[in-house]
Amino acid sequence: MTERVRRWGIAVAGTVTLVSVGLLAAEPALFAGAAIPLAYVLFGAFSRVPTSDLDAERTVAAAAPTPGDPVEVTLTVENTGDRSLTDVRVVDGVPSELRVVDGSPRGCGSLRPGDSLTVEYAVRSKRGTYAFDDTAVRIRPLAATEVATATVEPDGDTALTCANVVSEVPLADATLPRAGTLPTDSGGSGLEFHATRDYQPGDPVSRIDWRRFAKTNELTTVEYREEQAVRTVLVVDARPPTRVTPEPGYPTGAELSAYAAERLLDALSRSSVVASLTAVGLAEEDLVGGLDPDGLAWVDPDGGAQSPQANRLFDGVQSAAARDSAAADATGGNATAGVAADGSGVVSDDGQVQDPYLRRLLARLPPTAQVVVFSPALDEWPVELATSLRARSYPTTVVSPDVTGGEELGQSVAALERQLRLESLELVGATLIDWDLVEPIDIAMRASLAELFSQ
Amino acid sequence: MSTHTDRPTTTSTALVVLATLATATVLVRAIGVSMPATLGGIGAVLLAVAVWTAGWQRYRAIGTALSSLLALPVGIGLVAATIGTVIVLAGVLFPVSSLSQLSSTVIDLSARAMVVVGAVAAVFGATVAVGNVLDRETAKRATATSFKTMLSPLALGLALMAGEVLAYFESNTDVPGVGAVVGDVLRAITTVLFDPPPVRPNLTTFLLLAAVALIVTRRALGALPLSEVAAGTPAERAIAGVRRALFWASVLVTLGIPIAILSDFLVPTRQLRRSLSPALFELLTALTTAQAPRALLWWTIVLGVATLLVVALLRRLVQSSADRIGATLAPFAAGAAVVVGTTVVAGPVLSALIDWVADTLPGEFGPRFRELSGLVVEFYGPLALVMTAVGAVLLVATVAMTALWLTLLTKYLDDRTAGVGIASAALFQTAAFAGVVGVSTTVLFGSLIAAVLVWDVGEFGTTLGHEIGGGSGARRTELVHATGMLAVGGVGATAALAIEGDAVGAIPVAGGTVVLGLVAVLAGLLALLVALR
Repeated sequence: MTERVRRWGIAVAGTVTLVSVGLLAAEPALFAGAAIPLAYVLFGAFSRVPTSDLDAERTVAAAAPTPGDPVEVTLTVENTGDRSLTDVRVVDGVPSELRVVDGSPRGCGSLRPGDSLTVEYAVRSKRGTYAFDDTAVRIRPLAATEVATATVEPDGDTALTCANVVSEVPLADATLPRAGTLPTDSGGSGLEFHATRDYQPGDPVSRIDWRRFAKTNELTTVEYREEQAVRTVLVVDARPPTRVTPEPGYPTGAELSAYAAERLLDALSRSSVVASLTAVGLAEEDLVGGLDPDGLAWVDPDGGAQSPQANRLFDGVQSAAARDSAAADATGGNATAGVAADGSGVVSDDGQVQDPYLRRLLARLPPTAQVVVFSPALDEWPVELATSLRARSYPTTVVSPDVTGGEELGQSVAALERQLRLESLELVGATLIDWDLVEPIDIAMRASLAELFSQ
Repeated sequence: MSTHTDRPTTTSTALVVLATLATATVLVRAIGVSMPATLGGIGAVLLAVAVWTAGWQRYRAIGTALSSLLALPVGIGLVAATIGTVIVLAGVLFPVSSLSQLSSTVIDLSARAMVVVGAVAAVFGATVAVGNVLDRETAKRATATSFKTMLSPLALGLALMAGEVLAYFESNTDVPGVGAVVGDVLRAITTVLFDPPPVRPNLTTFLLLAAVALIVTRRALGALPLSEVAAGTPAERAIAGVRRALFWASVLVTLGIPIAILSDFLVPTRQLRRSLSPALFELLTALTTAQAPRALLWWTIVLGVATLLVVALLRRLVQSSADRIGATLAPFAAGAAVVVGTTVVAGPVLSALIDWVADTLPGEFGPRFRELSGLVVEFYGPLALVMTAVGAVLLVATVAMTALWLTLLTKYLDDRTAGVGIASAALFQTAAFAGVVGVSTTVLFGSLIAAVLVWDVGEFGTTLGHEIGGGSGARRTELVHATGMLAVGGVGATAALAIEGDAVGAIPVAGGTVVLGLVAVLAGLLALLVALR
């Protein structure tokens, strides 16, 4: 698209002024001087954008970055034509979801044939795959009286993928204490002898103790120790108070929680553990297909983190966080903005669970499960959840990404409050994994889960 | 972080500032008016700073205060650049040897003055182009700030002058015309209100003053936060009691006014003396015509009204943030500071100014000016004159800012390129008038190239800053552009030199056919420009 730019109005006015004043004052020098602005006007009028031939190449430095990592992007635009371009301006098509954290995706240069222009910048990675748009290019002639705007499709990398690719299996050597089955104290079908009882009509013939019948002529039924499969339930706390970020462009607490859950789910599925996944705090519009009737997003995925249901849930958390951060950007909110909720009233004085999320979650949990809660612990809700779970004898682990690491006073206060909550969590008996964002989640989990699994 | 902003790029801004300053300096030096032009240049830079500080969002109070304080230096610079230049040039160019030279000398003087004005405007444009601080909002704020700063000195100066005039009218009965009437009215008012003749009781005006004083005192007591301060103490009831008493007293006194009118204007003195006892008559006469009680009532009214105004102002201000209060009060505080400063230095400044003007003016004008100004100073006093002059200087600054704002408001200037637009247009004007004065062709053509380049580079840098960001990454492109356009200017200048060389002999500046030809050229040129657009 080419358009003319009228930028010589002042030279036109200057020409007219000089001619007029030159005539009025009878000054030949002034009259002749009108040729100078006129020269600019004429040069501008006859200037055209030269035909151009540009090639672009984009390189994304990190193949599979962790969410929150800055990723270097390099864009090189080369003048492959045979004419010099005095004014080439390029803007790389950064995905709108990603924030530029270093450098600028814009550049400008004068390119002789064969010359190239390099633009380097860094974006903050987020979970998912984000396609770059084509590079916008603007070319002007020397007089800048015409602008040609075009797009160039760069070679090389066209997307930034921040997927949950497991470079190593951090938990492969860790054994879950209750992987597979859990012996119970109730009798039924099973392998291990539990008790005998009087025969009741309908008992399977195979479980009648025939020896005893031969001795005493009484029918008795043998009961074996009943075995149940153990479930690990991963609870992602994605309520609005968790959707805050330590700095602009960084993933929110909810997104980091989801990311940690995704890593653990992947590891559990490799260890053949039956795992369920749920997220609290999502709205109906966040999840494709909507929430369950009880208002929870609950999936029992087959195939671990790669399963479509699990992916749908993680995407839901991300879209909820994106919706909230868009609103927070408008108000300049950061980690301190969402800490207002103190969780009071989650559990009433008489022990009745008041919080709807908590009530639904407790109703939905299988009777034999170990629960792993992922929450940035920015309000009292995770503490109340852990307390309720421990009161019902659920083994509980809390994984908490720390999004309060900032220099501001509000963030320091939020960090202090979070620390107190983490201590409360340990006091109620939950196993705690405090994920400091400067180190990968794998290290934090390996250090803490190994202990958990050897219980 | 991205450096994408609306600011022009550093290189372009530096080129604009350098080219403007160099051209303005060369042109001003060529016409030989350095001192007023330097003062004007400083005023222009300060005006740019005032516009910038007026636009501060975060420290609005400090920005407004700085902008207010700068209004006076800005006004002084502008007055120096205009009136000062004219005085200096008049001293150099006059007296003329023959009357026939008068018109050409006046044209010469005007053109030289316009060169200085243009140079000052160019310096202002280049300074605001740094950071692109001039837009409709900042110009509006600077105008409002300057206006508020101006109010106190100008009002006080005019009041002082008016006071001197009125005092003169009042004290002289032989003033002719309107002055005599004004003097009579003034004398009548002051006599009736403050100094009635002690021949009979003068109840009407006395009761009127008393009623107003009582009402104002009661309102002032109500407005002051006394009841809040004294809440729960015995004083609270006492205050309420005093207010009640004041109310009833004012009612009684107001009711007494019609009776007083009757007794003052309808009852003859003798009858009044008879109906009252002579002792009571004398007592009433002494009380109601004495100056002291009336003065006391008058000052009570003044004090009460002042209290009411201050309380009303504070009540309004207390609902705003500290920054807004500061921004609102800063111009008035600066105006008050200007008043205080003027009061301190009025005498020496006035005599120095009169001496300078009298010494600078040519020939007979100097002694005449000294004589006349001596009479004026004697009449008004130095304080009233200097205060009014300071108010007028601030008025000049305000008018300049208002003109700027209106130019932006009417979109003659685009917010985005306002600074470079002003600089370039002013350089054109300066060059044109310098051409009239007769500077060398090299300087003239160089100035014209600079005028176009300032616009071109400034606009280019602003667009570049908007599209790419203000960093240094685009320096090469900018330099390539600037060099290329300088070359275009060189071609234009060569053409101009060729035209001038041919034109000097070819155009006899007389004769209808030549004028007709030039008009035809102008019309053709305009047609070409319209076609190009």
